[in-house]
Amino acid sequence: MRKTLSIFSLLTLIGFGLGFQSCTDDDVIEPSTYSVPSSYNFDNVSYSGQTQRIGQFTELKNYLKTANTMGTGLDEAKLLAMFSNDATKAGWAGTYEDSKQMKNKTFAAVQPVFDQLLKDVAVSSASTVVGTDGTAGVVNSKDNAKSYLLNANGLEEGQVFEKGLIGALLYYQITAVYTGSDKMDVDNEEVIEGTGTKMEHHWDEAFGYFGVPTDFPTNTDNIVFLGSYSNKRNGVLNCNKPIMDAFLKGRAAISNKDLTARDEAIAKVRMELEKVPAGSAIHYLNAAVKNFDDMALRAHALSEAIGFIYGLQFSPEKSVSNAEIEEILVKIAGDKDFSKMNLYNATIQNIESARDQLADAVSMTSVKADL
Amino acid sequence: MSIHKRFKANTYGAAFAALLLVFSGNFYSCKDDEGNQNLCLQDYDVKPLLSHYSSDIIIPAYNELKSECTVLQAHNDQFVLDPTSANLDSVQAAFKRSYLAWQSAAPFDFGPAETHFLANGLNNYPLNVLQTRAKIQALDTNFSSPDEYTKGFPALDLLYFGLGENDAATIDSFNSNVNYQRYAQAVVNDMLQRLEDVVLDWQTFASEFNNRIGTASGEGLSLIINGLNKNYEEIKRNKLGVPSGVLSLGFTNPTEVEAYHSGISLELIVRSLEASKQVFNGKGSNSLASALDYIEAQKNGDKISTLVNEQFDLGMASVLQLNGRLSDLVDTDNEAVIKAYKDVAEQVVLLKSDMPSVMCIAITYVDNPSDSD
Repeated sequence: MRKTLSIFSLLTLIGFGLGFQSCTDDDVIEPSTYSVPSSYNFDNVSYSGQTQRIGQFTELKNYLKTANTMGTGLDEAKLLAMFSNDATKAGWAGTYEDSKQMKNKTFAAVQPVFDQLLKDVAVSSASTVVGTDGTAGVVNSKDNAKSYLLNANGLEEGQVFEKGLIGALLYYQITAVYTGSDKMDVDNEEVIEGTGTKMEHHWDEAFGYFGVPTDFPTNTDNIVFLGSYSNKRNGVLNCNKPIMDAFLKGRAAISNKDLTARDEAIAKVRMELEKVPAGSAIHYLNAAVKNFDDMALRAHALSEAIGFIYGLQFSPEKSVSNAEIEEILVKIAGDKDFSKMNLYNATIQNIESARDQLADAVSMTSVKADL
Repeated sequence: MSIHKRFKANTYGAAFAALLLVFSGNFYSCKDDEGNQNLCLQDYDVKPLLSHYSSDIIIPAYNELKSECTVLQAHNDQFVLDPTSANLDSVQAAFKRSYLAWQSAAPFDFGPAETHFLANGLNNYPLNVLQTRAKIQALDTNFSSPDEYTKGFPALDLLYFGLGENDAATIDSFNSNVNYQRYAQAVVNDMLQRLEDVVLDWQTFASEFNNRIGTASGEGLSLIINGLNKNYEEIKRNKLGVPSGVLSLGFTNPTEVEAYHSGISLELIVRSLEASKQVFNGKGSNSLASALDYIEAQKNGDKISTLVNEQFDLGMASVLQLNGRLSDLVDTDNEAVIKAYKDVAEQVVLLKSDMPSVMCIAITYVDNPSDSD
């Protein structure tokens, strides 16, 4: 096997060498000879695994939210089972294949962090008293319109889990895994009925994690997670179309063997998609400042921001280094570890400083006030 | 049929390699070269080069390693028989010397070393601690699987340095549980057995190697250049890249350094860089460097041999800036570790692309892709 490969590499090398020096009619495909469709309608598209995981994520998110009603305890075993798709304990409403789970697709090093958040939120949810500084429990907004389950330090663990997992699972799978070299430097010749070539299929799986319909952004029905937050930020950032266009361009490029255009599309997907968690984080930091004196609203907004900021770590082409992300989290909540964060001690000055640092790093200074 | 499929599957990688070759700008001409003199090297005589490498570099590296491991075995036997503090000191010191000696033999993972899975047998790291502990408990000393991370230097690293808080705890463990004693002996015996097989095989392999003067895969020059590169990329990726997190979105992996428990990771890196540099320069003439100079190989007006040596020195200087345990540094001063990684990585273009292309050698080993799914 090793031998076969070596000889082929060598023959190919020599072949290419000759071709370059003299001669032969290489069938180079001009990018202009194919068109990019306006919606994700290509041959042999399949991303059912991604749709299933998004379905599981939605169920888990909705279950977490039930704890915002005082006296509703969360079952730790059920939470962990939902995360790892242990169907007997998860009690799913939908139908999912046994092999499809969220946890093993989450960035490996932080899987324990998310397990811990689920364990912690289950503990917090057992509280039967109103949450205050030092005591976990449900906290109402001043107008009593909103209520959120906060831990003893004011962190809404459910929000941190959800927004953080958007980063460590969905955003990570798109930017680092399916558009990464292991999934992109693969066969693009043999077409398998229903799923296309390996490369096409991997690209489709990346798209599947975006959480939008094939004719997004014309159609915004059933958008979820990244797709939904892209749409929420679209008014200021105009991010919907560039992200979608990058996915369309990349798939068309792959199907037409235009690897240069594919690589441009990879860079574009990563760059444009980062605007969604980054812009959302800035938005929620602004919301926290605006509602600073209303603890429920402040904590809810900061928890969302914390999750989104944490999630920015999971792209290979991030504008903010992990060290800088830690710095920003420390500004907001006093610590980089979720279990040691405290939102009762947050200050407007620190939140604004965190916002400005983040906006600067992701080049959103000019729009930071509008988000 | 299956060959056809394989070809397709590798087209992209091969095309990429071809582009590298062409872009380096010094591609001379193509030729069929099974067993013939390497025309890229003009009338440079490859035979003395191959003899120099086999007799003056490769075989001495194995001999030194074998001799260190023989000493290690003696000290291990002594420690197992009598687990005292003094005997632990001796076996730890012998372990370090052997581990350092291994770095000089590591670039030659071909021929006999490949046959006897020497690299896998001696230095599969990071150790799979759970599996190793299970094997110790079950006294399972079968080390025949090359894919197991339960043996060689990494297993000894755990046994001599990582069983407890300190040396006293290690001595306690060896005193109280005979399985540690037996496992340590089995590990050392397995290492030495492989080494003896490799040394023995080189006695006959050497003449065959010395006569393989062509450029194809499996020819002497190809083995040396591919071996050098494969090992160099492992230094870059496994010794520095993985721990510093440059391959895992910036999340550091302190426990995945080489020699985690003994903490000698940096010394091993220094030795492995020295060894790589020596493979390039040989000991005197008839080296890769002198062959490059003979054909006046240049890049942007500079001698490639000079550029390679400058880059070796640059990488080494950055590594020497690091002090202490690498597993700590990735969390306390990772910027310096990443700088060292980058300075070491910079060499790859010269070693893997520029040098092979002017010498008409193809890079044929398959680089381990990262293990992400």
